[in-house]
Amino acid sequence: MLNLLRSEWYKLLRNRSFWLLLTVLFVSAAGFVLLNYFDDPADGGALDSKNGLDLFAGALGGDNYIIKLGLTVLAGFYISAEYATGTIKRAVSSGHSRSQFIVAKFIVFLLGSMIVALVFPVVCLSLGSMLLGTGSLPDVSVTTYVAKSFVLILTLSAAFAAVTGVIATLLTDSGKTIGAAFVFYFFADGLYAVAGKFMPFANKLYDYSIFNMINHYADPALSASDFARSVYIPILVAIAFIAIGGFIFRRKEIK
Amino acid sequence: MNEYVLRTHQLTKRYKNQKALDQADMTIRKGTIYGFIGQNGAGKSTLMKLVTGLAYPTSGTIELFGATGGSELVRARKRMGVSIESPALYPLLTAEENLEAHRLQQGIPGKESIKRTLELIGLSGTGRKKAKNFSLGMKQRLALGVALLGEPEFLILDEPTNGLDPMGVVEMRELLTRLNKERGITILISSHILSELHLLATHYGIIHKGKLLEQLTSRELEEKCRQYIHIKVSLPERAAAILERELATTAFEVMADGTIRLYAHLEQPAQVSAALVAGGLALEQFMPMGEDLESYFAARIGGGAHA
Repeated sequence: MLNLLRSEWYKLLRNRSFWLLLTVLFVSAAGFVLLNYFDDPADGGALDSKNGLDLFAGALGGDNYIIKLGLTVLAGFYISAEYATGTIKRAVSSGHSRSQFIVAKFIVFLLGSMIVALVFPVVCLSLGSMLLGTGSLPDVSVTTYVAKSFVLILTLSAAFAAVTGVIATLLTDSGKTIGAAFVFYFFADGLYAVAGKFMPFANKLYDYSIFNMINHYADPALSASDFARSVYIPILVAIAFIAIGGFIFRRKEIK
Repeated sequence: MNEYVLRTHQLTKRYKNQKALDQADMTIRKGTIYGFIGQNGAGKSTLMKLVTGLAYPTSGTIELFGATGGSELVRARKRMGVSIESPALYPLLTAEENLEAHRLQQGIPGKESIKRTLELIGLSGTGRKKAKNFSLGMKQRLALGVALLGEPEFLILDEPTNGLDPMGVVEMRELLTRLNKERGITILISSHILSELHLLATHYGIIHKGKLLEQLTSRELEEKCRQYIHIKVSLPERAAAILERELATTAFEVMADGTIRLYAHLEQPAQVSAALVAGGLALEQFMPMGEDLESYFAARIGGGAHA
């Protein structure tokens, strides 16, 4: 298992889309901070972030899309590409069990996804704090808020990555994976809402789903119980979807 | 010690209503080079995929290094090196990086194995060039290198000479022969170039429409493909006596239908016919005959088809 993890990590670090995503997110975040820094509302500017925490809150809102959509690109080029290049055949016939291989693949993909999800908020917070000062929050310790936010970024990105990983394992094609995941995430909230009209149970399900949690995770007033729920539910979702991915992959015929 | 590397028993694979492989009993002995011959869609790749675990059999069993199922069979695959269909490479990685990814996956200690393998397959000078920019021949060689990295005991190669230039084909043949002779690696190889396979294989398996029609050694094939002069005369006994007396040879067979197969004097047919005619025999049929691997294969599957 350790060999598989090392090999997957090696491949992730040499994956062009991984580095492209990191670079784009880093440059975008830096640009976002600099725009706010140079755009002075007192001089007719429209942007009004006053400090690093303001920028961080804004970044968490944007990170919603990075987690949902950016990770589909990584899944497409990290997981599905193995099928396109045929390298999946090499892995399956290498004497490791299929379950071990796919779990190692998912673990490294989840780690990569967490790194991708962290870039935008980390750059916004650190560069914003350097240029504008960190700022403060009423009733909440800055350290606690930032730490909680990072924990939620990690758990939610892991959960979304696991779901995306299952889509990639199922579809095996980069284009289809990216397209299907885009559409699924775009309509997921709406689907829950429509389902809720006919089945009230769906509304309750939505409240506890990662699709709802990701809309609220930047809230500084998040209660302790909501925070705990936003930690363990995504972790359970990630574990469940890794298991589902393994189940699908074990039965899959490699063409 | 198990003398068989691979044995399949009644191995069958069905896709919907079509049998891609039908009760195949394949046997590959240790140290052999097994040439797997069949047309496109005959079932070669299907069998290879079943053996390598890429697909699951509908029925039948696979015995690999004595392991027949479950995790035991999965572990036995560690002793194999595989290249099936197109070369499976990471296009954005260099030759060295492709090998390194596989080295890590297989837990092969030390990076010297990468250098050795690159030298063995003749790709040590490719430097930072990415695999996607390789010619098909280079990709084939790199795929072979990946398969060889863990010093496997059994190589499964599906069309490894595809895309190679004539020199590349010769080099590949020499390399595989060397690996077989020096390291004792057993090889299962499929190829469309039957003449090339003929120079390499020690054993053959002919598959057609999912059925493994025949397995034979190169010696048996040679026997079957033996060149001879086909002679038909009214008195075969007298012809046999003339051949023994006048041409001093016993290298002939009188067949059940009365025809004679003469395996000697192939370069002097005029001398043979003259001796028979001088002995008072009328030649009803007199012609050189025999088969090569291609014509034998075509005849075996019903004629006219290409592998």
